[in-house]
Amino acid sequence: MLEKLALYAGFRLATPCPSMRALAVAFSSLALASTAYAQQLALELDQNTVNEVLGPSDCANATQHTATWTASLPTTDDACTDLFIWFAPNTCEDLTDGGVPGETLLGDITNTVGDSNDWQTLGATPQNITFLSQQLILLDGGSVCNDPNVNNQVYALCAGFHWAALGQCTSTVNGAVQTVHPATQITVTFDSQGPPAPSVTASPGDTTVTVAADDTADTSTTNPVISMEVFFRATPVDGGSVDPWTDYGSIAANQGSLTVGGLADGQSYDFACNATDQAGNTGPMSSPVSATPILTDGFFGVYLAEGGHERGGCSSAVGLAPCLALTLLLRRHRRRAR
Amino acid sequence: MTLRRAAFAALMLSAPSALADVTYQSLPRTMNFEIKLGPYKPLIDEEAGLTGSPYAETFSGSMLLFELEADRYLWQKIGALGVGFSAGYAEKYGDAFTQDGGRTGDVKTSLKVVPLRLLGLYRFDYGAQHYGIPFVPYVKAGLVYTAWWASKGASTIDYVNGDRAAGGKWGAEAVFGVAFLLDVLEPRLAHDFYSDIGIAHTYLFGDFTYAADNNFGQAGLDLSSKHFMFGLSFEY
Repeated sequence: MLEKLALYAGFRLATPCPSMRALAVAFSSLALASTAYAQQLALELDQNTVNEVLGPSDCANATQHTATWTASLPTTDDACTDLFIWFAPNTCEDLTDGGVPGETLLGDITNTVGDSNDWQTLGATPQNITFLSQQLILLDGGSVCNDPNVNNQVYALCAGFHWAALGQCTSTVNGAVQTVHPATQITVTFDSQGPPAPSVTASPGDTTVTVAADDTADTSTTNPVISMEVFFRATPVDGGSVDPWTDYGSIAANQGSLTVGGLADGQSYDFACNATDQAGNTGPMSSPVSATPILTDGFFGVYLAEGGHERGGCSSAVGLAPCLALTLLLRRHRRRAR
Repeated sequence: MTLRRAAFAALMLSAPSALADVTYQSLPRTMNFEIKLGPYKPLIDEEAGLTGSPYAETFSGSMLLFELEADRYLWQKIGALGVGFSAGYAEKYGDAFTQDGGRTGDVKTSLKVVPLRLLGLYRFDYGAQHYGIPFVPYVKAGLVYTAWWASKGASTIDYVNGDRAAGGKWGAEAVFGVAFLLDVLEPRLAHDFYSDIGIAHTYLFGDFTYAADNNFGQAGLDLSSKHFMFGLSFEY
């Protein structure tokens, strides 16, 4: 005779790791079939929901996270209901005793009347529960860590009340249970596939080549490209040795281009890029494109070539002050530009 | 031309009636602030000994010079006599030249200037102050120091065979201009302008500058110019 009984839950996660700090969660509007009781149970939790992406490097790094929960109950009718927090693959399915493969119980907070450790007492103020990112990855035994082709495997962090029947308290996870299903859940995605190679163009300058990389081939929204690394080498000559690639620097996703400097005019160079996604996976190198820096003359070069007498510099003792001031300004500007 | 003359006549006829409400004669003003724009084309190509026209070949047009000027009136009886200081900025970009004489849009080159001027000035605004004549002729003369630098590609300052493309040029200049007293068009607004923020008069002006800015005739980059400037000035 279970009738509607709604549970609301949400968790806010905090972590010292910046890449994981975004892991903030909300569980809300959790509905559970209940008895004839019209009482509403409620857990008041954070409403933010941010997903996180993990990669193979997280298999070895034990990054600790902290979930914060609060809870309140407007009635004591259901004082025997425990609060559970658990991991599950894909989505928050019913929590059964050792049931769904991959489920891992993270916390079981009892509701023993008079016990200062019951969830009603604790839930009045924010409570932390910690876990490791590895615990999610290892739900299925860690097979994903050795699989280079995992594409957006989703894990869920779930919360809810373990419920037998009205008035039937369960102190263990055994029994005929009802489990809450959060409408919005924490999802942690594991991805071991690198993003596709970006498309690259190279525009020659004077001792420079400007490399532009385009990552629009990556269509992932859960695990997008965050940066593209720029490599260059002298273009191999037929029959000659092949220089190793030199890593020049990175271009942030959607940030356009990078100017590679210090090149020799007239020498052909190859340029290529690879992309790294949010999970830390690096994709294949793009096909190299070639460009040859060209010797150019600017205005001053043309002026001198046509017989100009100017040799630069501050032109007189009186002019020294403003000239030096300007020089200092330009040097500061140049340092900032670097 | 006929239309211009008619507009000018209408303006002059309307001014006295508008000025009937204007009581600016006794408004104290000790400072003048100007904001102005104008085409600036340095006479670089006129340097003696040049075999070509490097400025025209590289940039082919005028820069847009932006300047701010502050003047202090020191004497006010028949007109106003004072001193002023101005600072400006202009830049011009063009494509660099390849070794075969062509141009490449992949490498840009630029010339940038910062003219600093110290000027004495005289504004004949006696007519505007006492008779409501909205036109104020003025002259300025003084020293100019123009800092300049040229860039190419990623280099803020270009170097050619060890020569640094940056420096400064001293010179002298004279300015001739006419300002139009905007207050006559909206006397009430002008009065509010004064009572609210203390600006006594607002002018629209245009002037002609002749600057001999080549280290007083020495060899080198010639940043002399003959150019017009237009702007707004506020007396307070």
